Formats: sequence, C-alpha cells, structure tokens
Amino acid sequence: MRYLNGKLDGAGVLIWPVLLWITAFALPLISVAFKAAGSAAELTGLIQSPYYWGVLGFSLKQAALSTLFSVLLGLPGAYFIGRHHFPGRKLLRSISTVPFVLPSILAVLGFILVFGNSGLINSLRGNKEPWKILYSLRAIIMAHMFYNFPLTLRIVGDAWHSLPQSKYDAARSLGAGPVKAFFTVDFPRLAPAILTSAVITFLYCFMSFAIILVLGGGPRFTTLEVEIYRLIKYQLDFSRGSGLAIVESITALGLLAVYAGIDTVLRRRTADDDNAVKIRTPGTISGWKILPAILYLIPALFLIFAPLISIMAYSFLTRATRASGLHFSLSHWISLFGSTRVGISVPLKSVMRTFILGISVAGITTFTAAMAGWYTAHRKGSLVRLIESMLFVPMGVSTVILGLGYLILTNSIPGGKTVRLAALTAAHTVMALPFAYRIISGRLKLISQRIPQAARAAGAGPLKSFFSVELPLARGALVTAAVFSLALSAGELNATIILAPSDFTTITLAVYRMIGSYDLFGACALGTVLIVISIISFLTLDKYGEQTL
Amino acid sequence: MKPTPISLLTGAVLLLLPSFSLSAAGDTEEEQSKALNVYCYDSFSSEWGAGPHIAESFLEQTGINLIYNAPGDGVTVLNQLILEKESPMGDVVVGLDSSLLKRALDAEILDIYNSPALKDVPSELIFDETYHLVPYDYGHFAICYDSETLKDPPVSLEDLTSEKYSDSLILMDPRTSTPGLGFLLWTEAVYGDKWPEYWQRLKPSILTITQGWSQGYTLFTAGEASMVLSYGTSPVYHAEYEDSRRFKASGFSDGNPLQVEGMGIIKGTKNRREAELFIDFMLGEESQKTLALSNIMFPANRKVKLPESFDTALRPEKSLQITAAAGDINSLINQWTEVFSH
Repeated sequence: MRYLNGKLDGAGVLIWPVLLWITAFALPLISVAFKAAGSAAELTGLIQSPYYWGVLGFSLKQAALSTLFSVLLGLPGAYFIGRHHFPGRKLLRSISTVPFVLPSILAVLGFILVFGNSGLINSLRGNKEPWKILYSLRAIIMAHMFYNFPLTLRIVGDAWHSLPQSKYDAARSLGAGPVKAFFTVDFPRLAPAILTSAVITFLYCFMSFAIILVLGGGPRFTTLEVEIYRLIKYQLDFSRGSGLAIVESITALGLLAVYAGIDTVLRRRTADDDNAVKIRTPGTISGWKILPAILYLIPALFLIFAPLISIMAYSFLTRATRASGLHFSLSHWISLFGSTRVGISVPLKSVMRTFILGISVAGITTFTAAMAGWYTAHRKGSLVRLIESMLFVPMGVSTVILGLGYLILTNSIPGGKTVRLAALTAAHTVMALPFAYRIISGRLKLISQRIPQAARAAGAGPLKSFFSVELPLARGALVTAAVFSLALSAGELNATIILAPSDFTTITLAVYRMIGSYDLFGACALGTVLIVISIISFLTLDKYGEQTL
Repeated sequence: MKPTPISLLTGAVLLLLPSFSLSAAGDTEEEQSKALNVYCYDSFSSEWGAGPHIAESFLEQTGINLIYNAPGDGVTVLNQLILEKESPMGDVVVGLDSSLLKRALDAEILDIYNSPALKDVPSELIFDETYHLVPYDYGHFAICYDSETLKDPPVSLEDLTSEKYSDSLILMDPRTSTPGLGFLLWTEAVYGDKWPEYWQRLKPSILTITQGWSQGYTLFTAGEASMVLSYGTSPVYHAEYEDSRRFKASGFSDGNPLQVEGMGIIKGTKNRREAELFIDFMLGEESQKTLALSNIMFPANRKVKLPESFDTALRPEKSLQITAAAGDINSLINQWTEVFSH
C-alpha cells in the first residue's frame, strides 16, 4: 500500500471510478456532441421562444412542489423509522423502496386502479358522480410522492438512527428542553440528509416524463424532457434537441452547485467525534405519540400499498365472458408460467436476469461509490471537488440524450453479447452512482477523522482502517445505496431497450412487451413477481445493514 | 464469520463474472452458419412477437440464421439506420410504416426490391411505388370502445365531440406516438385548415393524452375510459386470447386512416440474395399468418386464411391515406401544441 503515501496521496483508488465514468457516461455524450453541432442562431431561437420558457417554468414548478410534498411526507416516517421500534418497521422500510423498482407503466396502472374515475376510491363512494382525483397537477405530485418519498424516509431515517447520544445528553443536562435540544443538536445533523434527499427528488421530478403526460391529463403539462424526446427522437433534430438538453442540464447542474455549497457548510459545523461510538437507542411508540403515528402511517401506507396491492389483485382477475364483469381467476398466472404462446422459461428467466443484472449493478456501484467516497472524505482540494461534481453530473443529463449516445455507440460495439451486457451494466451503474455516492460519502464524512487515526495509531494502515473501521460504521448507508442501485437497475427501461442483447429480456422489458401485445393481466402477474421478489431482497439486504446498528 | 460489507461487495462482483462468461459461450455458436442481420422494432423480435417463430422456420428452410437487432420502436430503428448510414451493419429492416416512408426515402438508406411474392398483395397496400419499402401487414386507426359501458358508440369524428362522451376518450400525444400522430393527421384530412377548431370542440371529451399507445390502451382495459385511440384490429386479441367480445372498433363515416407496415433491404448490404429470400419468406402464407396473430394486424397476403377471431376486426367502408411531409408534420404539431397551451 506504499503508493498511497506517494505524490497523489491515494488517488489510485480513483482510477476505477473515473474509468467507468468515462466509458459509460462521457463517451456516449461526446458521440452525441459530434452529431449535434448546431448553429448559434438555433440556440438563440430557442432561448427567445416564450413556449419553451413556459415549459421550463412548469418543469421547475412541478418539481419544486413534488419535492416539497415528498420530503414533508417522508420526514415523519424517517423519524418513526429512525428513532423507534414498532411492529412492521423493517417491512415498511423495505417495502417503501418497491415503487422505485416498478416500471412506470405499472405505477400508472396502480394509480388509476386506486384513484381513477372508476378506481377503488370512487367505487367505494357508490354511484355518485366520480370524484376526479387524477388528470391534474395534483395527480402528478401524488405520483411523484409515491415514487420519491422513500428517498427521504430512508436517507433521513438512517441519519436519524445514527444521531449521537452524548451531545444530546449534554444539551439536556444544560437545561435545554427536548424541542430546543432537537433544534440545536439533532436538526443540524439531519439537515444534510434532508437536503440530499430533497435534491435527488427534485432532479428526478425535473426529468420526469411519461407520468406527467398521462396523469396530468395531456399536453397542458409538458416538461422539457418531453420536448427533448420529441425533437431528438421523432424529428431527428439533434441541434435543437441538444440545445434544450443543454438548458435542462445547466439548470440541473446549477442547482447541484448550490446544493454542494450548502452541504459543505452544513457538514463542517457538525462533524462529530463520538457519533460512531454510541448512538441513541431507539424507543417505542407510546403515549402521546400513538395518535400522530396513526394519523401519519395510515395515509402514508395507503399511498404506497394501495397501488401495489391493486396491481397484485388485478393479476388474479379475468373477464372470461362477454356478459360478466371481472372475477377471480388463476388463468393469467397459469399462462404466464406455462404459456404455449411464449414458453415456460421466458418469464422465469427474466426474473433471474433482472436480479443477476441488478445485483451486479448494486455491487459495482456500491464498491465504486465507497472507493470515491473514501478519497473525498479523507482528502481536500480541487481534485476532490472535481470528483464530486463528476459523480453528480449524470443526474443532470437527460436520459434521452444519453440513450441517443448509446444508440450511436452500439454500432461501434462488436455484436458480441458479452460486450453489450457489460455496456448495459456500466450504463445502469453510472445512473445509480450519484445516489450511491451521495448516500455513502455523506455517512463517511460524518465519521470522525480521529477514528481511523486511532486505528492507525494501533498499527492499521489507512486502507486497513478503512475496511475494518470506517466501512463497518457506514454499513447502513452502504446497504441503502445497494438497495437503491438494485431497484434503479431493475426498473430502468430506456437504456435497457437499447443496450440489452435481443434475447436478454428483463422483467421491465417483459412487462412492456406484454402490455404492448395486449396482455395487461399477464403483465400484472409478472409485476407481482417483481414486487414480491423485491420485498424479499430488500428485507434480506436490510437485515445485513442493521446488524451493526 | 459475519459477512463484512467488503465480502458482500466482492461476492456481488464475482457473481457478475459467470453470467458474462456464460453468455460469451453462447456467442460463438451464432457465428458458425450463414447469418442475416435484421433490424426491427423490439415487439417483433421479442418472445411475444412473430420474430422468434419466423427465425426458426427460416433457418429450417434456408439454413440461414436471422440475427435481430431491435433498439426500440419503429422510429428508433429508422434513427439508427440513419445514424449508421455511412457504414451499415444491417441487411434488412422490418417495421418502418407508411408514416415513416418519406423520411426513409429522403435518407436514402434503402435499396429497391420488387419481390415476386407481391403478386398476392392487393395493390392499394403498395404504399411505396418505388419499392424501397414493401408491405407485410396493415390495419386502420380506429376508436375502440367497451361495449359493456358504451351502448351508443360514435360513428364520426364530429360525434366524438358530443357532450355525452365527456371525459371518455383516451388519445396519444402526436409528439411521441405513431397512433397519436395518425389521429392528428386524420383530423386534418377530414377538416382541412379547420382542424384546430375541431380539437377545441373535442377537448371536453378527452380524459387524457398519453405518451404512447401502451399506456393509453392500459388505461382503457383497466376501465378508466370507455373509448381509446387504437387499431381496428385490436378487438381480435381479446377474441382470440381472452375469448371476450366486449371490445369493439368503430368504423367512422369520415373513413379510417390506413396504416401499412413495411420492410426493405438496407443499402450497402453484402447479403443481397439472402435479404431477398427473407422478404419473399415474410410474404409467404406461413409467416403471414404468424405475423397476423402476433401483431394483431391484417396480413398483406390476401391468400392467408384467418381464424374466426378476425371477424371482430374493423373493415372500414372508407380507407383514408394519410401521408405528410416531415416539414408539414412539424408545423402541424407546433400548431397542435398551441391549441393545448391555452
């Protein structure tokens, strides 16, 4: 490990993250840039168009509202999950991540089955004029909450779980009430986590697309991403399309820059010496807390569970005869796993492929993020800032543009399946890396510099102290990062369509193709398989994450 | 020993390796016999499409392997062909429909092939008289409805604007979807310059406008609305695979737009003879039947005997030809966006 003490001082660990970033992110973008060289006149034309300003304004507005409500809905949950033991806590934590895995078409279906004009809520109200919940800005925000509040729930929940005991005790013994102690001691330590989840949520909603069109009720609600998609894909207008994409990226990256600044200030004030040594033991929900817990948990659980359960229930229904309505049937399940049309192995194999791919992505992403996180937590200077921004940029780039890059590159990729699978894994990894890096590095930075120093004084090298002391302390964050990476990979569609070898059908691809060939019930059955396996995997992963906590 | 995070990570990375080496083993087999590279949309090559079945019988009869490259929908396939025009990797393309013809011709990516098998194809389906693209199946855009919830379906575009259909129609966005664009062109074909006024009248009937056909049809089958923009052949699926006849397609007095799907030989192919064999094979009765039942479209070959489920398909009295130049489409769509931004 001598090179670690050399001139670059440990920068060797960065070789792998940088290499990955260049191949799976920079290369496709450069190849688009070669096709897209547009004239300045076209760009000014875009900038002067009131229509596009309106679209940008709406993109920002819906993202800001969605973020606000997602974080507000997530915070009480983070508190309950981080500070308390209650029955079903682990299950809630794991299940809340499932929406992330869900292909957007099934999420939309789940939503209309519950909130639609002829959905669950309206059918419970009987024969009255349907209560129009969807097809409005409200519906867009609700769907974004469904997808994104788990980010706050888990990221802030993890932070809440690892708050230091002694500072709080000190504040209390100096006479501060619980409220004051919370705002002087706990809140500053939670703020970076809240900010992180808010920024990730915002960027996700800012780039959102399919859900906005269908649940918003049409082109009244158009985001920049819709227009980029139209220009690039349907009009092959690379210069105007990438012009808009540049506007989108500049907006997103500007926000990220502001975020990075605030984040540094917040963290500087709260580096703890002892947070890793003793954390507060979670309590139970009792006394006055029961009422707010119920008031919060019931609607929150309804928002996550009702759409998921509807999809599962739908797979057991059928409308066999002309006259009758829907009734219970196993026929879609039987045909899913024993279809003469497709053959028995396809759906089963798609489950295996999704998870082999997802676990690989989760492993590589977490590993890469941990390496980069080690460097940025222990070093200072311009290289650290460069690495931090490099790892964040993929969140600010339109997936339509990235997809176009992959489409151009696939010509140069020799037809081999192995190469294509590697490219797919790399693409998913780059998409998951910003999340994973944020989650992991946030935790590593909070672990005091003195702990590894102490370990080194006891004879451990810097890497050894990293592996034996720091990483185990960051275990919760590592697992959360892995869970999100796995979920992201399993639910990703755009890059998968382009890069996956033609017989490498993942669950998400299968769901889309089944719906594309009219088989909606079968798609729900496969979606149910996806939901159940995800819950099991997340529960298992989370179990490891909690062992040391 | 308790698993440490690092051992978990290493384990995950190791898991990846066998999966790659397994697939690498699969690769070598493909290279052995003669092969033809077919570019197609993904629903053709997928396990639910006609592709795998056709590849199997083509190999049996000719000894030629078909290798599918499916980067997405038809528009994406065309984009990829244009992007790699200088050094084409494919031999044949399947799935460029009549609405993409002008762009495909302008890009000069196809070669002419007047297949002898076209003798069994009705002349009104030959949408490209230069024979760069030849038809293999077709259908009509139509408003499909649920006969259980809608007893008096509309019979014209104007009917759709009626108050009784308030919030009951699902359409697709012409900016992002082929049927969506088809519907916009349909209204233009019927109303001429007055189509923006028609859309203003139509607005109250529209429940929502989706990005693509799949989402729209999903909402419709889930019972969210009683009408959806789809194909005249859509009821066939429910009759053939679900034994249900409740979904129907309505023939409009204005006529229904014809959509023809075509295939062609990619310019620059080194396997011209095999490519011709493939196109003839696709027009043969066996493949045509497979295509009809997988794509749920009418086969181009008039000799094919169709199953009874095809009785539910719409055979409109009047068939509309809707083709427009790329430039016109852009300005149409811009105008359409205007209609909705107020």
